[in-house]
Amino acid sequence: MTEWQVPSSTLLAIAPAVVALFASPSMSRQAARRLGVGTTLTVLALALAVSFAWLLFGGVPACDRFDPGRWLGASPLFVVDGLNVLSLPFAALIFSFVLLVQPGTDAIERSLRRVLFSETVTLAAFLSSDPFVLAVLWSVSAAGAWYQLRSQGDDGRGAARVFASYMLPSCVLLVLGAVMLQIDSGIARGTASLLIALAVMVRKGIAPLHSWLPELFARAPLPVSVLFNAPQIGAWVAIRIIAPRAPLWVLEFISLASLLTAVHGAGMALVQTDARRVFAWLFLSQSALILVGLESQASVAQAGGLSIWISSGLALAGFGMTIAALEARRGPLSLRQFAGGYERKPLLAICFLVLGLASVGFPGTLGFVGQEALVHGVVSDFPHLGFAILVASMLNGIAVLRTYFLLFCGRLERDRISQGLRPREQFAFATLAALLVLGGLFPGPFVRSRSSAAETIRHAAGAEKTISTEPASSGRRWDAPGWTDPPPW
Amino acid sequence: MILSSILTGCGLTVVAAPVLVLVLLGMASLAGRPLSENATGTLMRLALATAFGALMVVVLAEVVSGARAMRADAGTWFSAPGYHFRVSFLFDRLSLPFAALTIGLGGVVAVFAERYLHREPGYNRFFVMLVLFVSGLLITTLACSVELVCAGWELVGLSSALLIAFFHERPAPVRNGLRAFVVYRGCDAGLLAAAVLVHHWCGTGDLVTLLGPGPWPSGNVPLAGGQITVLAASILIAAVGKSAQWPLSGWLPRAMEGPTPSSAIFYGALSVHAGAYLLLRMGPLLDRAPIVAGVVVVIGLGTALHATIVGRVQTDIKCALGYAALTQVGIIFVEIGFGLREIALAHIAGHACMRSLQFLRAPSLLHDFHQQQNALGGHLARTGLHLERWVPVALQRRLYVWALERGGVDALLDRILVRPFLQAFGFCDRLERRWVKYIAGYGAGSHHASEERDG
Repeated sequence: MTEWQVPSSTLLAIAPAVVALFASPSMSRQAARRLGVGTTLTVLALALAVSFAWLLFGGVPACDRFDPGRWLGASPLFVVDGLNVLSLPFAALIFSFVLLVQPGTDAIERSLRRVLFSETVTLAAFLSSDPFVLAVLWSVSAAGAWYQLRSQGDDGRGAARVFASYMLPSCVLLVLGAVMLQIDSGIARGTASLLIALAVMVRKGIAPLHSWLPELFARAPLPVSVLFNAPQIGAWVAIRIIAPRAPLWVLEFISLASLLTAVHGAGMALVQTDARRVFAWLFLSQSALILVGLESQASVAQAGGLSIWISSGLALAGFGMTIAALEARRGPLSLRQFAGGYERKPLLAICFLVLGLASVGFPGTLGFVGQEALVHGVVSDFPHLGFAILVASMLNGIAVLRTYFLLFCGRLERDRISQGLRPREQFAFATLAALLVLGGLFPGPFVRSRSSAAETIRHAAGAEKTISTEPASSGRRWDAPGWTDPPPW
Repeated sequence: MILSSILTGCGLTVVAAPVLVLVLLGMASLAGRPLSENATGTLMRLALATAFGALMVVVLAEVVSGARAMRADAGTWFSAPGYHFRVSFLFDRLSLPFAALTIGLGGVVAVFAERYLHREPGYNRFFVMLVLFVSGLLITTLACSVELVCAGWELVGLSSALLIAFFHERPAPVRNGLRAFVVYRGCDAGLLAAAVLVHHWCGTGDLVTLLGPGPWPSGNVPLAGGQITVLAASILIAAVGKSAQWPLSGWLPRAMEGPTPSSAIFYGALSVHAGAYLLLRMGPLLDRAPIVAGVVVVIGLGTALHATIVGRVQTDIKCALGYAALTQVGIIFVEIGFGLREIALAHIAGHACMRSLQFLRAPSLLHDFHQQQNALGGHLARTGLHLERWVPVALQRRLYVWALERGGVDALLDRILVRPFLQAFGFCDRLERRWVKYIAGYGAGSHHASEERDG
């Protein structure tokens, strides 16, 4: 492992929290936005610098000499490697983007410190691979979201109860799993994998453990829901802890449940009468697809899952925030009838459609490449059920266009006063949409990096397998690349 | 070597030129500064002229060299372990005429629309969609891999749905656009499934590997009979949806809500023939799947009969033309089913040109009639009465009602497919909300903004 002499990864993890500690709770809304955007953009620049430095130094795992783990005399806590090298700028970008486009109607000055703490927790989680550290960060992040949900008054209290009913067991399961992982026995490791898998399924909203997610999206402020879910800490735990250690049947169980969730979520998105809930179910469906890929045995599917994680995460964050921007202009967004109003906010409508289509992997966007790799890989794992991805993708596309039509078309608004985007919103939405489209036209480097990340998972699995006490037959079939296998039809 | 590079460059330019204009127009719109009408029109003409010129160079090279097919390879677009997405375009006796039609008719419609939509609020939006369609169809037509066909195919569907809903301040075009998109997406799943299966069975999505190295229309598919039948059936599903064949033809008359230039190029000329093109491309599969070929004939025949009867009661010219187009596409399907591929290709080319002209003249129909009547000095003679002469009066009445209801096919599909789907997921949704209400403890008296939103 390379040791950097500058406190890069440590600084990356703690910088937002340090700013949050010194931020005055009584600052004005504009000052809060300026501070938040400035901090998150600086963290984004730092994350990009760390990623480039990692590439320049040969792409081997790296930590810095100021790592808190070293001070405690243990192994490094924050490590940069092939898996998180893109996840760090990805998470930092989501935080910057959300703070940039967060509607002026939201009390940013009140939530800023929590948002910055939440960024620290997310980045620290992405830098860490220790099950205990991840369990603590996971619980802290859930507690933060719960607190914000609860502070929404009567409306949020019930939703906070639902949230807690699911998140509390998931935290307990993760901690228990982390404890059991320390026991050197095959049965204990299998049980630990199952417990952690259940925790991940709750956090990712895999059916039937998903009911908290649509409720959170429907009741909490959208920035809170997006920042809690879009970075996908659940997926991170899945690839860091479950994928290298879990026996085959656990992985297949997660994949199958995720596959069915993807279809269920897509179908549910089509019957919703509220834009937030459509977004929630779309999110759930796409998020399940990520897990299908990550827990697959074909490396092409893993690369696909890792690609969708980034592309869909960014697109969904953008899609969610377009809904937030529209809500700020129009109030609750019912889908019971056509709302119209394209003429008054054409750019918002265009960004809504482009980001929506990008989030479901439409051709010409970055999501398409991940979806393509995923479906080809998963069919080799599940020759018949794998086609469910096509069904989910088909339904998700229809849901996006239906929502677009209902929210922006079908009626002529008499009022001609423009409700267009403000310059900061226009910059953020258009840049994100352009990034996803241009990334879709030139996806080579992105997919290469995801493929090498998939290799990192495989290597980790190989390393775990050599120290595993389980019989070889129950271990993971890592060498099943799919396309070279004889067709199982 | 240099000649080969030039030809490859020309081949790639055919697709790259419209794609570049699409990116330019799209990015300008995203930046909130859409280009002016003049700039948009000029860019469009320039792109299509460049693409057409490059295509003609390839045609010339094939004619001079006597080659029956050429391939322009752009390399690997992206690759993951064990999977490579190659961007490669095939210029053969099938794709060349269709690409020429796409660019030629695209150009005609673009020039027509420059005047027709002058000062229309959606001028820029129309041209973005038009160039998206042309790009998508060129990719579909020239693609040498089944994955690339899928990518282009979906772009065509999206542009079609958005253009049907072009006049988005009215609910009907929007509803119809969504309906068309639902049919497209449902049927696209067939093509996507075929792409996955081809990759799975052949180890690659390359069409030359799948259909054999022989020039079109010959071919040799290296798969077993059952596999070929499954593939052909999947592709047929996609073709039926895109070409509005029976029983999925209900969206075509609804699509006439779009502006006339888009109706001309989509439903008179190119999009409606895309399904037939796909079947022509996959002809060697149909040769080895006689059952599916038989189904193609039956579907084509059914569509032709359905469209000719229903078309007779239409009261607006665009719908009448739409059904007339559908009748011909049905006959083209029959030709394809019988293996008459060259005839089908000629039929597509002739029909596309003639029907686009009719669609583009449709807004001036009354003016044209007046001119003709003035020239003749009386009313025009009624035509198309042969069915009325042959069909018994009792049957005529039944057929009339049947035609007015468009065969009741849409209502039937709604009843057996759409409604059960919505009911099933609606039931799940109600269950979900009840469960959440139970955990959250939302009382009967609590009334919040978000609950009002939830309904």
